[in-house]
Amino acid sequence: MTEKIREIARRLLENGEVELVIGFEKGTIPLKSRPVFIEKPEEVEKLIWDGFCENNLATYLRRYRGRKVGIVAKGCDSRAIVNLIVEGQLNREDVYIIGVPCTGMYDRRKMIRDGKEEPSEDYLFLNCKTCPYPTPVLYDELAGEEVSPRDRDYSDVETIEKMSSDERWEWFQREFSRCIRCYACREACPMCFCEFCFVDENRPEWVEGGIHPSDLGFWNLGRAFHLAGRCVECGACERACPMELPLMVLNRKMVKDVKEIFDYEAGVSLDEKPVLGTFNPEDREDFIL
Amino acid sequence: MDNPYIPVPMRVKMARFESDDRSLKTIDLEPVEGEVFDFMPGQFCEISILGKGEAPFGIASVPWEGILRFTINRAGLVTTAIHQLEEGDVVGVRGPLGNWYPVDLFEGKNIVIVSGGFAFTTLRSLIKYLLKNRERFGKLTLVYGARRPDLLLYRDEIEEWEKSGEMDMYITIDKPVEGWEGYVGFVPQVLEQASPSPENAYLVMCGPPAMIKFTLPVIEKLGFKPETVFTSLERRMKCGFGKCGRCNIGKYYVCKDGPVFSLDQLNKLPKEY
Amino acid sequence: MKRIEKNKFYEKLNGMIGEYRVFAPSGDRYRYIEDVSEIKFDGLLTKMSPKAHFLPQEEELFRWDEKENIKVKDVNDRYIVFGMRPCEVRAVTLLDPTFDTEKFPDPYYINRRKNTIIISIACNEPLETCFCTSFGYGPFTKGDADLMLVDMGDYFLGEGDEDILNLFGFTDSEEDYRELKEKAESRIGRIEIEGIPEKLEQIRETDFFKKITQRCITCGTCTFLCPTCYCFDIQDRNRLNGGKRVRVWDSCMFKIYTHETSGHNPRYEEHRRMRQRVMHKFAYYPSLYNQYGCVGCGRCVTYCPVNFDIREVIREAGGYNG
Repeated sequence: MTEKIREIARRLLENGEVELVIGFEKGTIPLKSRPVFIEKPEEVEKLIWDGFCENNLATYLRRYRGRKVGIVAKGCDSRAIVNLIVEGQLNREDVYIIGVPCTGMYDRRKMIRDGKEEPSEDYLFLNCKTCPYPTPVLYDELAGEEVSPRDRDYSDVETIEKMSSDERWEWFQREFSRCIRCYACREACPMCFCEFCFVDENRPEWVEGGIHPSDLGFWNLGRAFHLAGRCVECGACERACPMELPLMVLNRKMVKDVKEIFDYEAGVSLDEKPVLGTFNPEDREDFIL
Repeated sequence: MDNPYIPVPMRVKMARFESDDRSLKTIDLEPVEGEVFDFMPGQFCEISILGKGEAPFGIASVPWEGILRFTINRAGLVTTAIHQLEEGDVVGVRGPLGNWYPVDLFEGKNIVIVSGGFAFTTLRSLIKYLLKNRERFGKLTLVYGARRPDLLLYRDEIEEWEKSGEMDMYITIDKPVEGWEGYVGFVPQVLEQASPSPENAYLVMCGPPAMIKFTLPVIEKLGFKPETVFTSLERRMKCGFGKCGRCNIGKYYVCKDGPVFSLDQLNKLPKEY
Repeated sequence: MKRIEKNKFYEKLNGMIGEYRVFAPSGDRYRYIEDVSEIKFDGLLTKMSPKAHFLPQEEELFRWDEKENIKVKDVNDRYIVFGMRPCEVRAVTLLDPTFDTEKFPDPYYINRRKNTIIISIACNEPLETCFCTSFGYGPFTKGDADLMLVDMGDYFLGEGDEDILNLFGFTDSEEDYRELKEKAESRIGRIEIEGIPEKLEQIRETDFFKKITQRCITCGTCTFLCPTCYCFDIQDRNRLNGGKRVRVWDSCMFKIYTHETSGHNPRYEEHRRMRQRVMHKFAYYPSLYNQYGCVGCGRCVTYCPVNFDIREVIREAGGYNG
């Protein structure tokens, strides 16, 4: 796959089809591949593909709007690109998508803690283990053989759903009070592109800026709600979080509900309008008081 | 140890709108207790509205007036709250903060003051200072412009100064308006027209970024060397005394090492203002 | 050299909780502990640095009542910060010139600083991401610690203030830690920083910063975990019958940090923010205080979501000719 990605990137750059290619290179710390920006054909040797390409590169695309860029995209990354196009943040013709059928990414932090150096199924991120779209949904060229979808599994969400409200509150408080408000989750997320995030506003001040547990909770819930019907389940937020908060449980709860209520999945089709941006007379109303 | 974060209560002695569109408001503050602290022209204060926050404002008055005067453009949370103040209300003040116009350096020299819009505030303080100590300085020239006559600050005083003949004055507005007898045109053009000599002179400039951008080439053309040109910068600030970090430009903090900088200093720094 | 059995040391430390508020490693961060059993070393370095004691993430400056009478909390606590690493001790020393100033000294910081006993532990086994020795000190430097411990297995060797050694009941010992120190130092990767401040100034306006910033997503992880980053915001909290003014950590990597009400933002572009962070530590700090603003703890390298590596950036800056 690495060879194929390099080959495509070289061709795109040599032919001047793109100004740069965003992909992954080997990082400087163990088990980490990191974003790299290739501008010259002779630099394509830096590009790699392995089980540690955990970032969602689509988060960079808005910086290059109006310029032609190539991007290496996993299934989830391609969904983010679709969603960016659907939400009017990106022009389809500005991106050349090098689609990478993905067999899943491995949780490097867990591996390091367990002293493991070789990836194994046990260390796949949950959203990868249960990924419905491992093969990109939109691409200009595919760098490998298609990968079959995995079975959806929301047992993590169900565990939380089954808790009593007291238990759930206790869980929520315990987990999210560790948040340090560095906003790595927000910045890592391709869908968090607001020019001015609600959390930064002071007129009105939706949420105070400190680390009181209620503010930490409000921030994390607000973030998740703003991704309802938009989250593409890439897990980039949770992987970016230095405190390893279980952000994906909140996101996946939203994904699960949106699927159940509206039978909608974000970022799988350029033709579908954002679910919360459209009204359908058949929409369920039972949650409206 | 004095706690520099604690605002001192001051009472609004006078509050009036400065411009017809009510975007600019001038307030005079007097201490609830004791006298106004001593300060120099160009220094600023943090005005505090409890529950809203604080923001930095240049002082437009001089110490012997017995008040602190500020002219404030309504823009955000704190400035909106300040605009709602009425005479008798109490606010918090921290200051004086920052450095000041180098008036010692100016001794015996000609001074050219160039300004646009409501950035004129601390220059009122400077002009008052220069006029009070008139014999210590050479020729004084003022080029001051605004979009419309009502956006010129302190118009009564400008008239007084014109009558006194102590300064060469070039007061200008952007476009002709009925009844306006002063200059018409942008500040850079009027400055070129005034053509003050750089010999034995210093130039002080305060204005919006666009004015500064177009005035700099004129200043250079007139022959003012960067070390003889001073300006006062604005940046988002919090503490006001070099702790919180956000207002730095290169190794300088605008709050602590500024807000007054020479062009010579600025030329060596990143363009982060 | 002096020594003390570990259980005796911890017993003594436990007895001091109450008289002192003890801030110690407890998993991903330091906490004020009620009992030494809460002390938990999660690897060599906690994720969050102990700067949170000297400059808490959120700290009340003062509060007011319904009549707007302002009141500053009377704080008379004494503290022990236990378990700091030499890099973290050095980081506090680097905060001093900002907060303990002749003009406008910061009363909150100074109060905490002067009422804190720092007990550090030398690093027998530095991490791959450590680069402290680049800055003229190392894993066994006592620095501004009141007491530095060396972990010898069942016991500590101690070096420091005579009164504190006596307070804990250290006894004389013939041993020294030279061998451990040499071994630890030899494991640490150095970065070449000679001439870097001047070089950064030279290349300030080139494409260098644009290039290195490409992968940065401008979150605040590096700055919040950094033991020397100190920038803060001041915010008002409205409460029933009054409110309080607090300061809260802020980050130069955030877009809003320099966003002015007018909409103007002098560091709107990502690379300008990155330039600020890198140059503050490697150019402005040296020029103001003759010391680097980085201690080489490696947290920003380890926890950056996109593996922005400051060691690499400094190396690249050194060789940059663009």
